[in-house]
Amino acid sequence: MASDSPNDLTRTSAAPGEPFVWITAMGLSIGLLMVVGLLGIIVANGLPVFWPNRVVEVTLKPGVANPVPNAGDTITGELVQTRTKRIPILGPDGTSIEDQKEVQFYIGNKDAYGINFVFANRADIASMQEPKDIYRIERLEYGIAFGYPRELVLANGSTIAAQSPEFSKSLAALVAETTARRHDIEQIEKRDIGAINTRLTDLRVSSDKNADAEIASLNARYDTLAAEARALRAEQSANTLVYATPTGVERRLPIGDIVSYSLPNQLGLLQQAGLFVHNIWNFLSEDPREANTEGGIFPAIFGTFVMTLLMSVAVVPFGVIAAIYLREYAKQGLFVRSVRIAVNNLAGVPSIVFGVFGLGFFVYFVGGTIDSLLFSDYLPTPTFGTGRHPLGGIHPRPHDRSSRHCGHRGGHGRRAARHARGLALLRRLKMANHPPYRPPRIASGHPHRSHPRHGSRRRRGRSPHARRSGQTRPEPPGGLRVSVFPLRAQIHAPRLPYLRPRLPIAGLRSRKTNGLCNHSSAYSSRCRPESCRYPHS
Amino acid sequence: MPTHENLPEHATGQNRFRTAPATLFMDRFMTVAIKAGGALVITSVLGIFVFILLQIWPLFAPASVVEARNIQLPDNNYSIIGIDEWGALPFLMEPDGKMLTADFETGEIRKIPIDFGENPPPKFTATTLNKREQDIILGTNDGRFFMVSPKYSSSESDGRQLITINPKASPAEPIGIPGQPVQTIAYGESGSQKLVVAIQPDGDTNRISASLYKRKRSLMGAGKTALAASFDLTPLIPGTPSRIIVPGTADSVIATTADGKVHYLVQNGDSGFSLAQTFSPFSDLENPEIATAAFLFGDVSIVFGSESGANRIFSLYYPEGGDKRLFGLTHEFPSLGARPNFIASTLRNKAFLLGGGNALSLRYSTTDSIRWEQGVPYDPVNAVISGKYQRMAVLDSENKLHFFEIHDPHADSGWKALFGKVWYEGSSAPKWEWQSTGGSDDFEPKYSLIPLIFGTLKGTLYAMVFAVPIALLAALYTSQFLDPGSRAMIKPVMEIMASLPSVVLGFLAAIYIAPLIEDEVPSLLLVAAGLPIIAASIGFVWSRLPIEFRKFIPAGREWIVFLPVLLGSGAFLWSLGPAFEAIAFAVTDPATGQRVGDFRAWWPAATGSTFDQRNSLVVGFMMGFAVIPIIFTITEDALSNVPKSLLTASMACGASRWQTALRIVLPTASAGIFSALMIGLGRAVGETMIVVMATGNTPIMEWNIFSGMRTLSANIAVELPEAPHHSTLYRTLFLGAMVLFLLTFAVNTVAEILRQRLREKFKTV
Repeated sequence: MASDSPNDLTRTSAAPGEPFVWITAMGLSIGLLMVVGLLGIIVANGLPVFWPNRVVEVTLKPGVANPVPNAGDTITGELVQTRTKRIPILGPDGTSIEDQKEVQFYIGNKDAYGINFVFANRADIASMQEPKDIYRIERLEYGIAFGYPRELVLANGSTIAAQSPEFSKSLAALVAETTARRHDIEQIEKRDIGAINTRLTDLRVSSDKNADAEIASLNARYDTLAAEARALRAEQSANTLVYATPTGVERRLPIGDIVSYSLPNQLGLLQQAGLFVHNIWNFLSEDPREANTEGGIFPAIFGTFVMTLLMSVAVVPFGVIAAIYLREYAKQGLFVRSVRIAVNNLAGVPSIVFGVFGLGFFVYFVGGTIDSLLFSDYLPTPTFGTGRHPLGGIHPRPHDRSSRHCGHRGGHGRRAARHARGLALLRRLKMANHPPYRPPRIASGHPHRSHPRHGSRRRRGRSPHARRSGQTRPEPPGGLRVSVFPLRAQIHAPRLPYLRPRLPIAGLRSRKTNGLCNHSSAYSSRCRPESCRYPHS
Repeated sequence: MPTHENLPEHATGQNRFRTAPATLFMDRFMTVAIKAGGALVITSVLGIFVFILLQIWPLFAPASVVEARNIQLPDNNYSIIGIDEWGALPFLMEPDGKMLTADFETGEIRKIPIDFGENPPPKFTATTLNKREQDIILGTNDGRFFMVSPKYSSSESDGRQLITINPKASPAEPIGIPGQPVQTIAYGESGSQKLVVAIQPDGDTNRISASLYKRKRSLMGAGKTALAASFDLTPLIPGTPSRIIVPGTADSVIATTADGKVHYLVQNGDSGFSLAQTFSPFSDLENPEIATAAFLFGDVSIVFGSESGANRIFSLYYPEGGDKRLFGLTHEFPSLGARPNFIASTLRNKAFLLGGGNALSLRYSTTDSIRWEQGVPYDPVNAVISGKYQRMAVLDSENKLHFFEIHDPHADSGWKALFGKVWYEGSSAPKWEWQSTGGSDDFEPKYSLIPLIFGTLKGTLYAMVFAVPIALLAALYTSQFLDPGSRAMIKPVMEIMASLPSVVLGFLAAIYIAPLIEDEVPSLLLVAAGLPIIAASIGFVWSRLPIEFRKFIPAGREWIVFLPVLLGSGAFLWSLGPAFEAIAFAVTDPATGQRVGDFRAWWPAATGSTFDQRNSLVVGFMMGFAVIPIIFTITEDALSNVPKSLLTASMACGASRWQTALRIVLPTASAGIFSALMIGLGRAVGETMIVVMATGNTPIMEWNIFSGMRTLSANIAVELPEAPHHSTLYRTLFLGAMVLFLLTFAVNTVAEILRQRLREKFKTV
């Protein structure tokens, strides 16, 4: 009915209602624009994150205050955005609004500056150039460093100056080597030590009389593995890169802390595109680092996938059977019709209602029952439920002074424990291939071990008050010396800074203070215990 | 042609027509299995409702109070009764300053002597228990007072909890007129000061004197308390004071006189006290005398019982327009029917026990509800409720101590608390309020679902206002005017919108759209008003152009022309925003006195309501993305399914394409359109992530488009992770889920039924 409708050919005057047709066309156009615009906003804001930016060096006009500490009149970093701010100017003839452009830079080197982003007025910028030989180094901690390499200090004491021709080749080789070694360490700590820990936990709760011998052998194996991992870690920091920040401060970076590096201002378009694809792939395939501020989102993708898969497997047969039953088997009558309406309407019920039901029924009721029947040895550490305390009453209630905080604080630990416990169970059921996460056992005297709440959390029948009273942790029988505790760092480090002082991992604490302390040589990564540098590895 | 011999046995002869046993078995098995499965599905669907109902039910259940045991005490004139946190070992004070305990578990009665450090022991004439501090104050016949702390301790032996009491008396302090017996004494203690008030006979009248003790603080922590000042309050009070109450803030005194008047004295720094208010709680009654009075938990409300049994609660609040906190009537309960002998409040919530004249009544002040009421075959004279609101001990006139077990976990709930207007402590009028947690122990949780239901409807309304026109117009155009070639492409593109997870939409709304809209409301208004006008005028001009021009754009391709026109005029109108703002929304800048165009300042000045960044406009816009594709798809299907014969007939009769669409297609498809709207509405009602992120989640009740709201679904998402299992909050959130469910279920069911009706009506076409 398009071009052959009569009004197109035969009439020259207007067909009634044509303006309204245009209004409906507007509706469609707006709808289309909304879709395209939204996708465009997502893409336009998302993808540039992965594009390797040029690093610029900006010289400010004389007399302008530099937001970068001790940097003279230059700002070195990636250009993030230019935005307009409205400033009311009070003149003799009334207020006028003046638009000012300001430029945001990502200056990196958080360990040196204490800040990551700075703004500068466009008008204050005298000149802008791209330093050709600046390095962009992605580190395990403190994000990106921009700087000029000076030399490589090798384990045997010899140095390779940055000007020498073999410098770049040596650096590439060393970084490749440490990356491979980091993988090895991860294998030992996650897979091998993790398996030992799982076995130790099982032995501890089992009533097996011959468990002691096996525990002893597991502990011995543990010590060997831990020593191996320690040795590898020591090798990671054997070689050091000495570089100067754009402000001229010399800094030393163990090669093992380098995730990747590039010379952003020497990249051609093709290389940039390659790095762009590489960055996207890394984002999709890697685990998060640095309390979810760096690294990738693979675990989230995996979780989404598993959840969708489980849901399909569990739900599709039910749906099909229900449909067949309603259509073919049930007597068609008022009942079936109302059931059909009910089932159709269920599709419109908000998902949060089902979420509420899931929490109440599956987690609290079913999960709690399973825990108390099958996993009572682990309580109050939850496996499926939320781990009700054997004495009861530790849940925070209003007006209950005594238990106000315990339940809440305990919640994080319990959640962590549940995570590990659930994985252990999945593994036993052969549902998950990879071993449960277990952090490495730490040499004695480390905050992990001496933390007072750490061990008593797992003991049965302790009241929450005992937990708070600062008792030193008793060694559990059977010599299980590692708990799931350090997972807390993964769980609540990023958004709850007020909880950080209580975190057992010194590394995370110092990172927190770093934001407040500009020149943090006292917090340089060298003076922290070895194992803290890899809170997520 | 095969012969019989070549065929397998079952295919020959009569067996040819018999079904294989395996098939029959399979058929029977599947019949049973599928029937069972179908029944299971229906049961589990019903099971969800039953489970949620079971979770909700206790919110509306009355308190269960059962007498567990009673203990006969030796005859004496017991003045006060106190109890430990667990309700296991209540104590009573004898007039001679001895303490008596009755063990709930064993029934054992013990006399506990208290060492007052004086010989001969002092004679006591007044005894009062400070419920909040669990301390006893004893006034002597020679104008002094002692403080006794019960000092409960709990230990565990053989798996049983063992409560012991070890009372300690502090040295005597003088008060008021030296040597005069203390008739009545009361005290209050805050962190920094302590106020002791005593009534002594002074000639014909009573003298009321107050001693203020201050705690010295140093670097070493809290130091000793020392007498800071003494006051004679008698001149401030007209009449003879008979009863005094001191709140835990220790900065005011409430004194009642025999004529039923209450005098509220407030401390003015160190200089003394002044009379802030005098009121008569029962002035309208025949006998205005006050029989008993006590503070509720939190020391903001006083419960009064009159001689006739009337029961009223007066609370401190700032009256409308006032700048002083004064007492005002906030709650009134039904009469007890007899003179109440006592009021026992709890240390957990706003419940109190009223007793007297062979009746006990457990009441909850906030919600005006009687949790439990019973006639008893004795006359209760005193009572106490344990700190955890789980046990109470009632002393009758025959000196028998009755123990009751209280099970009332959701005393602060009920129909009134959840849906009614409630007069909360501190507010100047009853209101609907949601505020489930607070900072202090004596905070009252406020569980009204009305603001949340209001927020849900508000969010839905603004979402529908934005989404419905666009979705309907787009669907009408797509189904009726668009050329078939483009249609195959357009429809899937529109449906992509539905595939965007709402958490992405919410995220974008909060961090991208909200800051964008905040500064550009005038531009947005211009665009919203200008685009339809531009569209209509283009159509008007276009349809009047000669055919030579019109043939370049065939009917059904208008949208292609329109896209750039729309973009261009939209951008033009958007850029006019600041100018429009300067003209239409100018306000006087208080700092400079200049007229400045600023919508954010103009809106509050012009309408008196707030302007927030996270507002309903943003939510309405973003929810459009969730709702438009649903309405669009279903409407488009309904419109496309109108029989072609109707269209061709209409066209043949000379109707234009718009007339056909309006008069023929829309009425025929109205059932489907209505259903689409209802399903879109259901989606908007239940939308969670967008509103959680983009509304600010403040449970306010105003239709202002530039303020946020809190919806039922967002409320669940925000609070359920923190709600303790089986607490009132937890169950209230389940109730919220149930309300949400019923809301959507009702909307969807109405849509379904109406759709079937309308379908019947248009069956003939």
